[in-house]
Amino acid sequence: MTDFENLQKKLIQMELLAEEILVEKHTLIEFDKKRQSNRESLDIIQHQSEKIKNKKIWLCLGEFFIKVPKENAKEYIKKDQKNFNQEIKRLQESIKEKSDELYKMQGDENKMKGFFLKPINKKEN
Amino acid sequence: MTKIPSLQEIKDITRTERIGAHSHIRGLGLDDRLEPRDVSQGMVGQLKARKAAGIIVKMIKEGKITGRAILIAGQPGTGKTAIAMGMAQEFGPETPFTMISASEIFSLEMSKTEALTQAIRKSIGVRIKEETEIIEGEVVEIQIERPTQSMGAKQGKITMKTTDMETVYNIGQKMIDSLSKEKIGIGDVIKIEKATGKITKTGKSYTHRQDYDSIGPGETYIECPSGELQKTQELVHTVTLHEIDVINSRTQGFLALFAGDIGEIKAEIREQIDSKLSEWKDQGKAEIISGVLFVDETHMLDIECFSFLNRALENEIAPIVIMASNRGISKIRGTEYVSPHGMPLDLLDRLLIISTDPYSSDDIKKIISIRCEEEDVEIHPQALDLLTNIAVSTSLRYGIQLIIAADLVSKKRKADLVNVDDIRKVYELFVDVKRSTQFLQEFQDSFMFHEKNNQNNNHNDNEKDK
Repeated sequence: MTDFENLQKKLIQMELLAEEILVEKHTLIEFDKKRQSNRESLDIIQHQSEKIKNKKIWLCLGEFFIKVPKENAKEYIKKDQKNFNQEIKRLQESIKEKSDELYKMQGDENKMKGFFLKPINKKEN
Repeated sequence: MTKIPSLQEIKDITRTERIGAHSHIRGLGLDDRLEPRDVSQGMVGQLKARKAAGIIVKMIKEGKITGRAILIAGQPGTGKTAIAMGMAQEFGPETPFTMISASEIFSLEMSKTEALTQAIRKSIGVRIKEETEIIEGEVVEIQIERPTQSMGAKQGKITMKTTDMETVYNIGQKMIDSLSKEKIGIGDVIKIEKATGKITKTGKSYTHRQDYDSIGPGETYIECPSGELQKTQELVHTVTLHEIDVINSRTQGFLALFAGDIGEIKAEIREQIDSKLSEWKDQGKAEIISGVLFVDETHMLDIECFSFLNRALENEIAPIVIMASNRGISKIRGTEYVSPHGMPLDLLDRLLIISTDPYSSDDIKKIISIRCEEEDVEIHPQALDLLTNIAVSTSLRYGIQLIIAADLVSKKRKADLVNVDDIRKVYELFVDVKRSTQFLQEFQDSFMFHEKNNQNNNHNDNEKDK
């Protein structure tokens, strides 16, 4: 492969990687939005609906509404939150790794040094 | 327990330079294949030594040698300290680089081994990472409900947004109190630490710039943050072992870093820190960065220091030690024994030795012209030749010191360039070592306390004969 073809291949790789990172960042924002709205709903169910005597409430899932008992709604939203938290963590790790790869491709090896260490809790201080 | 400082500025303090005479050096002046260019980055000539130094820098950067020691040996004025400065620049800001002169070890405040240990620990860095969940956004609205009975807890809602999303949080008594204490209002960009509930105001959003006709001091305008409201903030800190020692040596320890009166640090504290660090290293929580310790005028260390160094180099985490010595075969300080470079043979055995040769007259000319540029002095080419000849016959340092003196003389005659007469005048005013010795030998009787070694020996012999 000629030098030019090599360069082209490298550039394509870098652009693809950058695209992936941008898509993941955007997904992160969307997930956080959903996470926050889940949290708000959970708050309302838990604290403010003591006034509402119904045992069943309307829950909006994406495109349709269903009527479920309060307890089920709570369980469902909590599970959803857990999933979101996991996904967000996974995305963050992935963005870190991809950014590191991108920096390495650009020749800047030390930019992300230290970000792959495990964190220290305040308690250990 | 062990505390880790989070002050990034400390790193800059440990890098103060010792000599202004080497301020023109920006690096070792090597090309990509580690071949030295003749005049580059402030370094001139001395090709073999620079190439060797370049190889060593590469090995250190790749982490291939630790706990090794290097000696740069050569006559005075052959660029030993200059090479060390060049190496320091090549390492970059990531590697801890400590520069000391051997005589600094001897002080009344602390013992020699303590001073050496501190210098060694200043050259080992530790990298750790702190992770916190934070909520960062612009405040849109704050609603506080006071209960009907005055003793009840306050409840409230705060609406925060970023450029991408907006949400409402329920807040309780403590948070409401913090908000009013920090005087947070609409349009403020704030950061809330989820774990501690600490609120920091980073500034006011640009969109609210028109709200008030005049603003108080200390009010900064920043952009509304973008992205997620709740994110994980990761901070990477790099500190030296010495800083960790000082902070743990006493309460309010971090003040001692600035005050400077550190005193002796107990061995138990150091042991505690070391064991904690290796624990963290095993758990993947900390990275140890091995740095470089440069000891200039190593022949001033005495035999106890040398034995200590021998032992310290064999430690698990030891920095690279670079020494410089201009002694030939001379006495080891603290003993009557004579040894090359004034250092004991067992230490010399562990060293990689780079030797520096005296400069050629062409090299000296280039060095002088670089120094002239550095000190902002314009010099006539003839004057430069004369100065080179003077430096060749006396010493490089003497020549360099004449530059500034000649510049002052030329400014007195309101001229732009330093010319031959200026140099001649300064040469007559300031005497170099050779002329000074000659002068002393001629007029020795007029000086006080002059010891004439040859005459003394003759006297002693005469006494014995009698």
